[in-house]
Order: sequence, then structure tokens, then C-alpha cells
Amino acid sequence: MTADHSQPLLEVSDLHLRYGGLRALDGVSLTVNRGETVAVLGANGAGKSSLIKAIYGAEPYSAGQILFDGVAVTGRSPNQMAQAGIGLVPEGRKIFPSLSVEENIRLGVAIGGHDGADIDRVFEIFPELKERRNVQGTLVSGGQQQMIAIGRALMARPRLLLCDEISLGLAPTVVDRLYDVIKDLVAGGMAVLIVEQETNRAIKSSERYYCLLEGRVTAQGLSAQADQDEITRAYFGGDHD
Amino acid sequence: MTDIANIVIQGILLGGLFAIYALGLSLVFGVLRIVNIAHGDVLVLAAYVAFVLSDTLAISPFLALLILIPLTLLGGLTFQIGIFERVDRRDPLVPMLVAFGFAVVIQNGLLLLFGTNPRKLDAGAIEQLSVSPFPGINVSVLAVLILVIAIALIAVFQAIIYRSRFGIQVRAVSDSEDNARLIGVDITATFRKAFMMVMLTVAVGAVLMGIKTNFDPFSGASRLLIAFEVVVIGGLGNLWGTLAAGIVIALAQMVGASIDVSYQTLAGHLVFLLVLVIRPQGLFPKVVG
Repeated sequence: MTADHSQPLLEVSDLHLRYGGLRALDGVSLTVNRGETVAVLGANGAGKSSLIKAIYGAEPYSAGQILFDGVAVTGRSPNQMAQAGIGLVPEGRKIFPSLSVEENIRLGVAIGGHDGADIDRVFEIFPELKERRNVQGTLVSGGQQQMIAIGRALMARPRLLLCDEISLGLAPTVVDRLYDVIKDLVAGGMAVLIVEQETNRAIKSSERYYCLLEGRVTAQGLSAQADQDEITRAYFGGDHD
Repeated sequence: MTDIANIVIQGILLGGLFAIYALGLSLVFGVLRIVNIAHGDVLVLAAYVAFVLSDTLAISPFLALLILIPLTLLGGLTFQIGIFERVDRRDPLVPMLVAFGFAVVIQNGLLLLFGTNPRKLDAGAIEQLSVSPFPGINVSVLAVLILVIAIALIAVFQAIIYRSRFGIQVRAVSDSEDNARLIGVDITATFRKAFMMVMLTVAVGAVLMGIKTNFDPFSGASRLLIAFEVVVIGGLGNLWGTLAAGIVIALAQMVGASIDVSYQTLAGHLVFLLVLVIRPQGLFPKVVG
């Protein structure tokens, strides 16, 4: 790769997305740098999931541009995004019941369009998946299903990992574990964009944050300097106390 | 006693052919989520192509199969890209209507070109060849060959779907096309490859059908019916179940025919209804690979 390392890995400019008359995204711009963790915060319906899906090409947007590693990837399909080097850990995990734990993870290889990562590497990160590799993918615990979803994304060897609500419905100890894994991945050079409803967790685990409200970025900054009151305002809108 | 043994042997051997008819239908339904009511007519169309090849080139139908396979795959791919990928599949009725229209076009096209005279593929001396392992029991070599080909095809398909990287994709798409697309599976490529597998079963099934039985432009419907019954009895997801179900229907037909030839197809349908009442989920429901 001869890419210019000073420029952001992901650059989203002025993204607009609507469902019928509803504006899900109304001119969202954000950047993710190499090896950086960026959090997108917002309440239900703020447009977080739409943003992740639009970036991954799973949701068509009406206007805007997306640059990945300096290349315009606007309008590409999820499959093309995966092959470009973006991985998705989708909301709700999307584990396939006809596949075993191991096959669900290996599905990531097919998505990446190349030889893929070594599955032993995923089993090193999540040893409990190795023990249950032959069990039907949807019969393991919610936390383990989330591990499968992360492992599957890793099999395609992404440079940017998109994580959509990975803490949803999981016990705090499991969530700690998942965020520790993400920290290790970032230490290994991966960039991560996390979408979370749980503000504290996301702020603690990220270097920068963006707040979404009704499809617009209402606040952004360094997570270390994040002001709880400002985030609350940006999160719920100015009308609330 | 030897009569019964002969009937059972004939049923088992014919079951392989029925399983091949069903294999393609089952894949189209399981992966592409389409009830392909043109499946029988596509089989008959391919049988006519095999007939023309074998007739004009004066070659054995088995040799014609080697030419038929690439032709069928190419035809299938053309249909897939030219028509199927342009059809709005959000309403499952639309592709079904396209298939219905396709069936009508095939039937009338064949009628125009070949008339109503039944045709048959001539495999030569092998058709009369039989062995007699026990006194009174006769086994047709051709029927054994058909069963062996069916078993080989099912074994290969089973390995592709349950042991390969492509098979993982196929089963994921079969579970949920939307979720598979969301996480980045190339749906179009998966559909095309799966449809190529279907067209392979069509080419093989057409030649074996043409050798075994007569066919005319309207033979498609009865083949479709058999394929449907085998898929329903066999259950989706286990290809060996498809073979077993093919044998069940074929056995019923042979038993029916031994009572009176006119009972042959009726007996098959009756057994199908019986299984449907006793085990509506099929004899071999979906298993996890």
C-alpha cells in the first residue's frame, strides 16, 4: 500500500439518507483515522444504524460521498466494501442457524474475497468458540454469538471494523470482554467505528466521538475531554431540561 | 417371491432418476426461493436438445450429454442474467409467473418444432442388457447405471453444500438472503453458481429420462409433479433424503404398476398423500450440517 498515511482511513462527507419522507441522515460528515477508535452516540432512531449501513453499502443514500483509504467507494455493495477492507459486526449479530459456530465464522472468508485470516487466530481470541465449534450457531449464548459476529468480520481481514450496538442485551462482564478485544485489535493497527446507545462505555473505549440527533451531528470531540452535560444535550436535544 | 423382488429392485433403480429431477427443484427453492414450475418443461427441453444432438451427430446419448452439459449451463446463465436478475423478487408470485410463462413458451415451441410424436433417446445395446444375480431376478444394466449416476451426483452435491466454502455461502443465503447480503455475501454470484448446479442436474436428468422413457412436448408436467412430491417427502436440506424419497415414490409406482399398469402414477401420488398426512414435515427434515 502506498496510501498517504496522514489522510483519514474513512472520510464520510455530507451523507443524506431518507426512508420515504423520513430523513434518517441529514448531511452527516465524519472521519476515522488509521488505528483510531471512533464512537457514534445517539438515542434510538437518531440514525446510527442507518449511518453504519450506509457506510457499508447496505443502505442506499441519496447524496454524499464516502472515501475509504483515499478511494471513492460511494455506491458500492456490502460485498465490494468487504473486499475493499471494511468489516461489519451487524446489529443483532445475524448468525445463520443452518451453519455451525465454525461455519458462521468461516463465512467471513467468502465475504472478503481472498484467503482470509487464520481461523485459529479467532479461536485464540475467543477460546470458548473453539470448544463449541460444531454446535449450531444460534444455539450458543448471546455473548458467544456476538463473538462469532466479530470473528466472522475478522476472517475477511478488515482494516476498518464497523461495530453496530455490540453491547445490546449482553451482561456487563461480557461487554467488558468484547471491548477489551476491540482495544487489542486497535493496538494491532485496526481502525474501529463503534455505534452505541450506552454512552459511558463508548466514551471510555474511544478516542473521538460524534453525537447524532435526528440524523445530524450535534456534537463531536475528543472522548477524553467529553463533557457529560454537552453529550446529554446533543443526545436528547435541547428541549429536555 | 421373485416377482416382489423384481418390483423392489426396479423401484429402487428408478428412484435415482426421480431424485435427480427433484435435486434441481429443491436447490432452486431452497436457495433462490423460487417455486420453479417450469422445471419439468426445462427437463423436457434439454431432452429434445439431447435428441437432436444424438440424432444429427449419430452419437450415443451419453456422448451427447457431454455436449449438452455446457449448452445447458450456458442457457441457464443466459436466462439467469437476462431475465431472472431483472425480475422483482420481493413478490414471490412474480418469478413464479415468469416460470409459468417460460413453461408455456417451451411447450408450444417444442410442439411447433417436433410435433406431438413421442421421442426417445436410443442408448443402443445397453438398453437390452441385463444381469441375473439370482435365478428369476433380472436387473437392467442401464437402470443400475442410472442409479449409480444419481448417487454420484448427490454425493458431489452433498459435499459441495456441506463441506465447501461455497456451500457455507449457499446455506447462509438459504437461511436469510437479506442478512447474507447485509454482512457482505455476494448474492448474485451465489445465485449464479447455485443455478449452474441446478442446470447440471437438468442436463443429466434429461438424458437419463430420455433413455428410460418416452417424452413429448407436454411431458414436463408429470416430471414436475414427481419432483415436487420427492422434494416434499424428502424434506429440504438433506440430499440423501431426496434420494430416499425418490425411491419411495418409484417403489410405490412399481407396486401400483404390478397390480395394473394404469395404477402406476396413481400409486405414487397416493403414497405421497399418505406421507403428507402422517409426517407433514417430510421423512427427512432439515438438518444442520
